[in-house]
Amino acid sequence: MICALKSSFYRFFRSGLFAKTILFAFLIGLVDIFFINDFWLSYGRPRYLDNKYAVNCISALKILTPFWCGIFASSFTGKDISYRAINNKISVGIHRAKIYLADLAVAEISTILSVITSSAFICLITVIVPSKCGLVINGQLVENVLHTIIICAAFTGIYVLLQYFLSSQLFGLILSLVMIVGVCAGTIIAEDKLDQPYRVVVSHEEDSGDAVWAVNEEYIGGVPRTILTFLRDASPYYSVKSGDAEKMLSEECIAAVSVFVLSSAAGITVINKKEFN
Amino acid sequence: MEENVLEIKKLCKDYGKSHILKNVDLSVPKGSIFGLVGRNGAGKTTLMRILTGLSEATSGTYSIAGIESSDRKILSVRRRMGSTIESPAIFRNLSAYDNVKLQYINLGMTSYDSIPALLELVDLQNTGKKKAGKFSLGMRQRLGIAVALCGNPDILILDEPINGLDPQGIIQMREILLRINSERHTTIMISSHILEELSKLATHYAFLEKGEILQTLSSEELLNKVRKASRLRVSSTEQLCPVFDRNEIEYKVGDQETIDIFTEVTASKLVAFANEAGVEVITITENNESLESYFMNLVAKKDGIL
Repeated sequence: MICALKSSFYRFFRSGLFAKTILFAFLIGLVDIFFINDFWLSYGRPRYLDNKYAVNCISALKILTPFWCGIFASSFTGKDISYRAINNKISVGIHRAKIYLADLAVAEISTILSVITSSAFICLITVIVPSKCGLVINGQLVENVLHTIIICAAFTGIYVLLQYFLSSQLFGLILSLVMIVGVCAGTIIAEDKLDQPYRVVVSHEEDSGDAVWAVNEEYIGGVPRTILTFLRDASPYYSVKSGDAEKMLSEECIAAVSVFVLSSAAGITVINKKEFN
Repeated sequence: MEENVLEIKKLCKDYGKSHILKNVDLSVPKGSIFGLVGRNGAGKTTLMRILTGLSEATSGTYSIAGIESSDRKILSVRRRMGSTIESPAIFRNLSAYDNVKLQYINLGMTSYDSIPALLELVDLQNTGKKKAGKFSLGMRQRLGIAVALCGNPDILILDEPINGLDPQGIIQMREILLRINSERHTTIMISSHILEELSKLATHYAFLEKGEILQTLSSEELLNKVRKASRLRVSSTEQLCPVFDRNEIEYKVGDQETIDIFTEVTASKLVAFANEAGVEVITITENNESLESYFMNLVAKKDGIL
């Protein structure tokens, strides 16, 4: 395991991916502040003049950082497979599962580095802007960063698995990026479906004013509603969209941890069964 | 008795309903250069991929340096093996030094002092920080060999290492492999489509066709088996053939001017035949059947053509 880890880390630093992780983290922070959280649109004055601004910006990283995670998985794991350099590790007897775990470890470290750097950048901007919107490094802020790391780690887990499963750097990258958009679109659809809270709707006749009871065809009830509600609450986009970062849903964390564990297990199975060219 | 570093027993590999390898039995002697000869799709690469752990055999076993493939120790014994399968497995965004160092790390080596010497062996000592992606094909092939040579392996498995190389590159690669074999006593298993080149290297051969081993033999045995021929250059082969047919001479026409005679006949007799046919003899040379034609004859015999 040590050899596999050392080898992956050596490549992480020598191929310039460490520097790129930091650079992209700053870019993500900038995009987050200037475009996502209205700083630019409100003429340099953040929408919230309290700690909530930084917390909300950090929360938005749950959707922005996975774009970098997809690119990283493609550049790191994808290259290992497409250049067939993974053959060099297998043919010298490094256990396949260890190769996968070492690759995953480096990808996760890049994810953590990216979230921490972006968060630090956001905090820095928050304190130095002229409007002094305020920053308090408290439990809520730290909890938010940790929460964001867990979500992004789950995305990274899936992306590394995709690279091994598809063995195509480009296809893996496209699918990774489409997945983030898919999560957002899926959340919007789920929200739309759940927007009908009542099984029966009441309307009033125009002439008599009598109440007319009718079955709401669009209402989704029972088990499908429970599943849909869980999926919506588990989606990182839901908490970002609601604009209330304090509302950190346990469903989101449970789903992320489950996805991470399952994707890692699936990845180990894939690499053990895979026939490398 | 010859010691074998690789022993393959009844090895089979199936992909769905197609049988890529069928009961392959093979022994590779220690210190030999073992040439795997076969057409495209014969199963050479599949066999090498199984030996290097990239693919699993459907059935059958193999052993490396006495360790059976089913034994857990096979992973550690693979550290004594280097390989390049099809094209060199290198990172194009890293330099030659970094690629070699990465393999040193994979092998758990902590001293990197021998990297410059290894790069010198494959003539890549002056590449500096140049990325492998900017190397020529020959340089990349040589870097692949350098990566395979990391840790001074006892066995080297090379699949088509001279593919796409120019004549100078082929000579360079041949010299490197012969040097490794003689200086380090490394056993080399090599496959190549360029059979003439392979015949300049190999000490042992295995002929593979449609997943089956047709024959295994040493280069001395091959030399005894290949048919000797007298190559005749004449003004016209067309007129000469009926005379040879009448005299039951075994021959093969090369082109309008060349003809190979496999029956043992003296030069004066050949000239007499030519005079009888009314053709002029330009040259008579002694010529051995090539590895290529030997292989083609073997395949033809298997297919029932000969």
